[in-house]
Amino acid sequence: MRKLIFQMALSLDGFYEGPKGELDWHLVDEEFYADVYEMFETLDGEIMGRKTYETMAAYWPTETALREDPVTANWMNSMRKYVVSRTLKTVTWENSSLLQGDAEEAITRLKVLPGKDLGIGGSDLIASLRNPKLIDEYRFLIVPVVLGAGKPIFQGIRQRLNLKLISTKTYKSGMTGLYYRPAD
Amino acid sequence: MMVSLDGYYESPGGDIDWHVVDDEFNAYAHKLLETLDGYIFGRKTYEMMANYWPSEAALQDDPVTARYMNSLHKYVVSRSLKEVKWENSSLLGGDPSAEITRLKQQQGKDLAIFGSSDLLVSLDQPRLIDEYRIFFAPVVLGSGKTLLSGIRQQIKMKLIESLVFKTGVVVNRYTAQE
Repeated sequence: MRKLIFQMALSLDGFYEGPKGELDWHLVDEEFYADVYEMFETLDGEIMGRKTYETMAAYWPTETALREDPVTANWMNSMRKYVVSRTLKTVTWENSSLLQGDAEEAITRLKVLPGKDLGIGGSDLIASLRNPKLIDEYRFLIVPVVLGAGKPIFQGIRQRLNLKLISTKTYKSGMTGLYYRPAD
Repeated sequence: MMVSLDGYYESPGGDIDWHVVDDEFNAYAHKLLETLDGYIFGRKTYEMMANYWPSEAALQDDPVTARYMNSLHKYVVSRSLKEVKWENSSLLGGDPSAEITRLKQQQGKDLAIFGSSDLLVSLDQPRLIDEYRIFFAPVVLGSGKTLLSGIRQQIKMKLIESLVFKTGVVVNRYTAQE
């Protein structure tokens, strides 16, 4: 079965966004991009919640995105996007579709299909899952900053998520990649 | 300070039952304790520690740490406490930042602040602390008390070292930047 992979950059105080959605504290450098591009090669789709979908759909197809980060933009636009939403009726970004019915059942169906691994994005989406063990790998990129306020990762998750560390990576920028799978 | 991946140092009820402590962690802690000759605590941390470390249970469960905790000097920052009774402890009167600066200038080994998130926030001088050691426990709690909640501005850190314990705890050491 192919793996479902979640990746998110976090501050030391556990926020994935500043209070107003700020992401200007992210540390992106060549080393980071090299890893992201390498990860793209292992994926052939991305599952996302509505908010993540709307943010991405408003950015990646634009001229700005294609100019500033063409590799990511091309990948984002061309890969298959599965959107979990109770409110959206249609999705218009190229190669995207709504996941119908129960989200977890739909995700499980995607996992058993042949293909490369799948990414999943969106803190609220993960927090809403009945079974967060559906995700095979949690990759947290710990950015060396204390924000003081913001949106805590997985806020509202139903119960503690116990994880098992698989590996770590230290970036030259001071960011540390902490890679986990759900604990048994 | 040990934190969950979502940045909490305590569960909502003050629980720290998710802390992962084993021989490797204790050995790391004991090595750190050897480099110190005093601690600085906020009131809450002081009260918690003063309740535990002098007890029979602590002396039985972790005699090495208990001996260090009881014998080293403890400086307590509090506006409300009038006296402190734990052996080798004293109140830091006056302006806490000035007092801590004065302690740092004295001869001796290093000083440590264990926990005391609220104290650090109230000091409002991230660079007064020369090194931050953050222990990431392999857990997402979902709610709790956020590390350094209430700080007035972002603290940019520089990574010094990252270590991994067998339990999956990751220890990152940082210094605060300008």
